[in-house]
Amino acid sequence: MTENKPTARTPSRLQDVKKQTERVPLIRRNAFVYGFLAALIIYAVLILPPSGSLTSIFQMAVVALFVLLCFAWVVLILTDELKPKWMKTVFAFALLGVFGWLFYRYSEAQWGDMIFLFFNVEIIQKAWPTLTKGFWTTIQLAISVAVLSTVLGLIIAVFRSFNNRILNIFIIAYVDFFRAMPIIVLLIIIYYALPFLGIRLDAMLAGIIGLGLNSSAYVSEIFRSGIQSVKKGQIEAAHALGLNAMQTMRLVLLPQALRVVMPPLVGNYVASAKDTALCSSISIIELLKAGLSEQSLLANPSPLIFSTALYLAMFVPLTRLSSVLEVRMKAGVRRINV
Amino acid sequence: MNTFDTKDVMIEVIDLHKYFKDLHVLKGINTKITRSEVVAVMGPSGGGKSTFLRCLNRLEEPSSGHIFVEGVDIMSPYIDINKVRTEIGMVFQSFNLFPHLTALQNIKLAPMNVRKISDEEATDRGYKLLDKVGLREKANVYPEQLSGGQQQRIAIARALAMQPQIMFFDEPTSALDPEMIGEVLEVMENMATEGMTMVVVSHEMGFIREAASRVLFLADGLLVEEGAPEEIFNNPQHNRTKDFLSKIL
Repeated sequence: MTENKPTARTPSRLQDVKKQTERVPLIRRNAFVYGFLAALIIYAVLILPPSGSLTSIFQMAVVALFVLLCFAWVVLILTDELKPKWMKTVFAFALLGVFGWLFYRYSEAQWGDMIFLFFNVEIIQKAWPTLTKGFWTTIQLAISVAVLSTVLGLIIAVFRSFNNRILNIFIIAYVDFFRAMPIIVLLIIIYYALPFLGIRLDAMLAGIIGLGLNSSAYVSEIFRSGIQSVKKGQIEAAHALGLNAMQTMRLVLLPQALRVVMPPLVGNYVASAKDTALCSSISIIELLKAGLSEQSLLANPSPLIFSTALYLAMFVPLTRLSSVLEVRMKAGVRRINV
Repeated sequence: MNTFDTKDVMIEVIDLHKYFKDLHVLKGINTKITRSEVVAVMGPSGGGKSTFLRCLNRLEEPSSGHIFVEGVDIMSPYIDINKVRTEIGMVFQSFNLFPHLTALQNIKLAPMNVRKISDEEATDRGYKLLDKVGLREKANVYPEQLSGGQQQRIAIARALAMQPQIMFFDEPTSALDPEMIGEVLEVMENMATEGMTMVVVSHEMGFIREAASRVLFLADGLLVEEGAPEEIFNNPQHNRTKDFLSKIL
């Protein structure tokens, strides 16, 4: 009974561990790391095939094994909690550098002509008027689609929240139809099939309607979940004060739903703005089509690269905004759930 | 039986039934509430207290029976229930303040949008009510920055801003920390002395003894017993009531 009681004379159970720390290991863990590095360098210098295309399976296997070993070496470092953080960072980037170097060495691309082919200022200057026009067309499309889809989506979501069974069937059918329909198919049907019925739409209008209908289905779902996220007690409190259904929606539900809805809504605007590139298939000369047609006209892909850069310049800030809003909403969600 | 002056009957409930699917929650409630009465509704949980209260302004749709508020049959399909609700203020267990509005905006919202009074008038009324509940300095504060007791007092002020004839309280202190119950009950007691007609679902014995003119004891969907607080507390007639009181006293 008394044996289990710890006394001053009880020897520490950590004695074994203490002995371990006193022992000097034959090969320290750093030695492994440096040895491995040396082996990799020797491998690269002596065994790796010269630059150019990899013709035989043997050569490919040698490169693949080298990549695998590099990868293993970096994993060895990254998983070692005793290595300093800066070392892990440096080696992770070094790995990326090695992969890039291997691609550069064996891909047979004409890297020397890259500036002339992709970043040719002269060509871009020639293509400039078409590209800016395409850029504005894309922006017009994106904004029109955002406005149309918001209006439609909000109306649908409000109707949906009244929970009328028959109305709901139509709304669910609408939403499912446009979510299931590939956008490009929808655009092509509106632009190329409807004229047979006598419905002739201007390409721009067809694009806005097609993208807007598609996006409105998503927007309505976003608004619906936003409205549903407001607690039931809020509706009861509003009703108990004598507010009617419309006033409850306008004064109590929507203001609270809007805060929840902002991040996914901005995300959805970005998505549908990116989808404007699909309008190039119905003869709208937007940013992608402008870049593509200038590329074939001038026999140089620089305009296309420039279009890409413009897309990124437009959408990277917007996706960033969406993330920022999300963080803000998570901070503010406490207020909503009071 | 009918000793009340009919003019002063604020709410009359006749054979009120409520089903939730197959669950029979209210099994024929009959009662009258007259002007300036403070009626406390007590009973075991699940006995139908809250459902009873919520049926009286049709937050819960009654299954059958009649409810007259100031002589108006609110079960009639022709009435605008929102009009009736403006005459009945309601305070909830979980406060249900609007989190996107400040305390003052919470109070002003319904008078401005339902009663269509001007902004200045609503602000004026709002500050008076904030004085009444002792929270003038919190006018421009959002609900999340207020304590539970403060939130509930704002909720009372919000209900009073519609200048209702009747006030309903659905367990107003049940979600509060003990030290905050007093401040809410004090506001309610003041209202009672001012002659407000009140229906209070609560188990705050002190408040009921002090302010209630009548106690309704609801259990298993039936109005088991009613009477003055002293009568019910000191001399309960039914076993169900005795049993319940022995547990909470």
